[in-house]
Amino acid sequence: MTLTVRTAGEEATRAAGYALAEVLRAGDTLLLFGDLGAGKTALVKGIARGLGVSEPITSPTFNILLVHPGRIPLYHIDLYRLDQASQLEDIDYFGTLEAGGVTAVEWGDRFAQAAPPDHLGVSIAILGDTIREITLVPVGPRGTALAGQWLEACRSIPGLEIAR
Amino acid sequence: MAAHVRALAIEDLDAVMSIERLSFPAPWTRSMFAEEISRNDRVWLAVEHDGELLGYGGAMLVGDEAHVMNLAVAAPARRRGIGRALLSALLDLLVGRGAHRITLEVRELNEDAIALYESAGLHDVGRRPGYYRETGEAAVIMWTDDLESPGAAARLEVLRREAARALALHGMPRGAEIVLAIETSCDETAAAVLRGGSELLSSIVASQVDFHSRFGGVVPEIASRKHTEAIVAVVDEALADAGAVLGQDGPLAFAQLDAIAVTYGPGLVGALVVGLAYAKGLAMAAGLPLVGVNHLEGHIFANTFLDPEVEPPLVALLVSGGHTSLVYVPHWGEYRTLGETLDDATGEAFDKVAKVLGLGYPGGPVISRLAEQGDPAAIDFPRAMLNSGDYSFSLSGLKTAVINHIRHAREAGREIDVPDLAASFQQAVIDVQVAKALRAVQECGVSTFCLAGGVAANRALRDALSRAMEPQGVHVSVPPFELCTDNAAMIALAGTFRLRSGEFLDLAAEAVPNLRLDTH
Amino acid sequence: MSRLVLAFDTATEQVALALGSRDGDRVTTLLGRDFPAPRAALGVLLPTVGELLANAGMTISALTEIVVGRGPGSFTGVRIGVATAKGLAHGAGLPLYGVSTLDALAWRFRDHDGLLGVVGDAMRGEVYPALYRIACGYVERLTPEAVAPPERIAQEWAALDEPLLIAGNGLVKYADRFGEVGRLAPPESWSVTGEGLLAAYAAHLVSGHAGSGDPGALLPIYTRLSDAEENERTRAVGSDLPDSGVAGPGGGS
Repeated sequence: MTLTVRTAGEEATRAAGYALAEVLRAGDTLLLFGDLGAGKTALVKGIARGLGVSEPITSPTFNILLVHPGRIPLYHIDLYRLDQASQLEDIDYFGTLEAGGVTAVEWGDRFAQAAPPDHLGVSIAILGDTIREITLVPVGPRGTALAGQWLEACRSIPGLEIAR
Repeated sequence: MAAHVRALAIEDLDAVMSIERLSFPAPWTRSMFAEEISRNDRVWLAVEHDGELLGYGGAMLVGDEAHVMNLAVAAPARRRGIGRALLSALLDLLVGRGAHRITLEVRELNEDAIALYESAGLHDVGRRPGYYRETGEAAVIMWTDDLESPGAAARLEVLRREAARALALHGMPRGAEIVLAIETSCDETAAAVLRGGSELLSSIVASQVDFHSRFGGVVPEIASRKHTEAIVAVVDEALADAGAVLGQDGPLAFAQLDAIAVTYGPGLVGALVVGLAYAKGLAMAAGLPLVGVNHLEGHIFANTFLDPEVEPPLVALLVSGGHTSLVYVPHWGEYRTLGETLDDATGEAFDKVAKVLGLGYPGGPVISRLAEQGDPAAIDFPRAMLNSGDYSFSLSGLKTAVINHIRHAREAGREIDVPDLAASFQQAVIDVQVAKALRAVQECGVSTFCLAGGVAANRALRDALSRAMEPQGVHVSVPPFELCTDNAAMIALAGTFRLRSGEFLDLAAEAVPNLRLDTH
Repeated sequence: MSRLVLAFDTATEQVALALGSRDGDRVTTLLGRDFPAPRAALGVLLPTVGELLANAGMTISALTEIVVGRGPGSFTGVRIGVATAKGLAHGAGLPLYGVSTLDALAWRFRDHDGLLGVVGDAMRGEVYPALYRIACGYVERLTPEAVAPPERIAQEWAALDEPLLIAGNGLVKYADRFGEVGRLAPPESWSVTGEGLLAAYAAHLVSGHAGSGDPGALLPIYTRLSDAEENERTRAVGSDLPDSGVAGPGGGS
């Protein structure tokens, strides 16, 4: 099952993230994938605001893991600089997924075998300079429920175009 | 080794008697001490530094009531917190052994001692006139039974910290302190030894160490972020190099160090904990004071290494793979972040543009090399936030603009002039950074500017900043190349400053992955 | 002359700590402290070591050796314990020996008679399994370090012909499944103790497996798979996993 949301501009991508934050719970994992510049961090910025995080959300590319306190802790991971699955242990990846927060993993498709069995995959495709297509790829029951809830929440937001 | 508290022993009694006779008109006798030390219902402690007895104190415990009987500090060591250290240790031990009440007598004219006991929560409950026959002084009886309330606990904690500070700083050879620094905040495992806050005796990173010979056969792959595997060897090499520089026969010994400094944030928590845990264990075992350093403060201090003109007040532009911020430093230890990136860090932007162009890693140096041959005005990339009126930066929009430009060119089958693109991208970054840095320098009214962090190695940025600022009479400082990227030498520099300020980490310290520079 | 051993383990959510006295290869526990500290070991470990030593009326200088739990367990937890132990040993000039965290747990059950299975929580939906045969107060390890899905281990253990006692913090997640395979030890006994660490250390001394004592050479047990083994893991669903290597000397069966 795939579900898509089109956003026109970074603001809309953030708004989509904000909508998702409302339905997130501790233990949820989002794997974000898409080319450089697709808007993975922009989406996380929206999620963070929705979770009540007040500090700026910056890119975790170099720091690998950034932690933000919010309604639920937000663990913002970026696997961009990892090139071997064995390095996931160095950053305590699996421990972080089970640390009781929401984990958003940029380049989350990098190590397929490391994906948790129940998560929501979010693929962001660049369709034009400012147009993005967000495709939801849920895996497992919670992922599926989350995808459905997110899509519903997106319906009422201007600037987002839902398609099935 | 720092000054430390231990149990008083028979062997100490000669030294005890010298101090006792000089401290009290009616001194105890040696046999009185000997008998006291041997009793189970007594607690006797000493403060020692390098084999020299600085002070001693003892108390008796009867049931749940403790009576402090004697506390003295050698004259040359007075007024430096040694009495505080003794009292703190005595109280902790007595409370640990079940004391609920503490009492003691002190000469009414001994204001220092009375103040000390008051700070521990004892108060004046009466007098015994003429108690001290030799001088006719009255004894002030001091007492407390409040040892467990939250207020008491807080008071004792303050006393404990002051005691730790006093012990750590005692005998510190100011101007010649030898500090071992440990840095494991992200990719690199590094150690360095610095003397007197300026003389670098050694600086080692894991990639320099030959692990094959060390592990003799069973060799784990020591790539980046293998801090647990690398830490001991890296420290050993730093000590060996330092020993060699000092002309010693062997490596520098832990006993020759005056303090340990360690990065405790910001950074990747799984990496930070290794350096911090190791440093804490080392400090505890070697009896050394432990100083915590903010990695970003280290980057700013790197500028002081070769440049004696770098003195606050100054403005620093901190640019690396993971950070981009403009900081005002009115004095060392006080930092005000004027602005920072809202999204990507500068070094990261360089790396990602290089990636999209299919160039090697790390991208920064490749881009700046290519840019030298390109035209910085060839493409007009956005100067994000140039006129925002604040000191914030944003590089993600520029990154997207470059990516869009490349995509359009590829889709149209146009060839990309890579040097021109690199130069134009770099110029867009530089224009904003120089403009904001210059405005910060002017608004803060400083005449010293520091470029810090990995991107400080970028020649074009350094040159542009110098060209903009030097005509205004501003001294532009850049750190030596080896201190731009993550290293422990800069941690030792900042660590020596923290040591001299008397700020220590205790053994309960945690890593702080989000540690900020700002003090308030 | 008696030697004084400090042992601790922070590989799981339980901090285990003990001070022991050693004569040859016999170790007696003098003082122990075991307490939960989920994701908080770094702040409490050394202050507690300090308290333990103070309660025993000793200082670091009285120690003759340090023993640390090498894991497997939580990566950050293992690192905190091992790095702290390295700092202490390096700083005090003491030898540092390592013991498997699973073995330390197993030695809690040395008065059992028969088979013991230990399952450690490996996250990622996996466990660290280990089998032991216990008789006459001696705990003998039967299997090497490994990581596997709990279902596979449960099936393997169900096929054993003998009654099995099962313990370990992996039971917090998988008690139901393993309850079908053997008798579960009471939950209070699923975590490592300092006393168990010292007992495992003593056994390592006897078998000569404690390691060289060089703090620089001591490595954590991660049971991390190489990239090639990771690919094997996905392809080989249902078949036997290859044994994963222990990183470094000084531990194991």
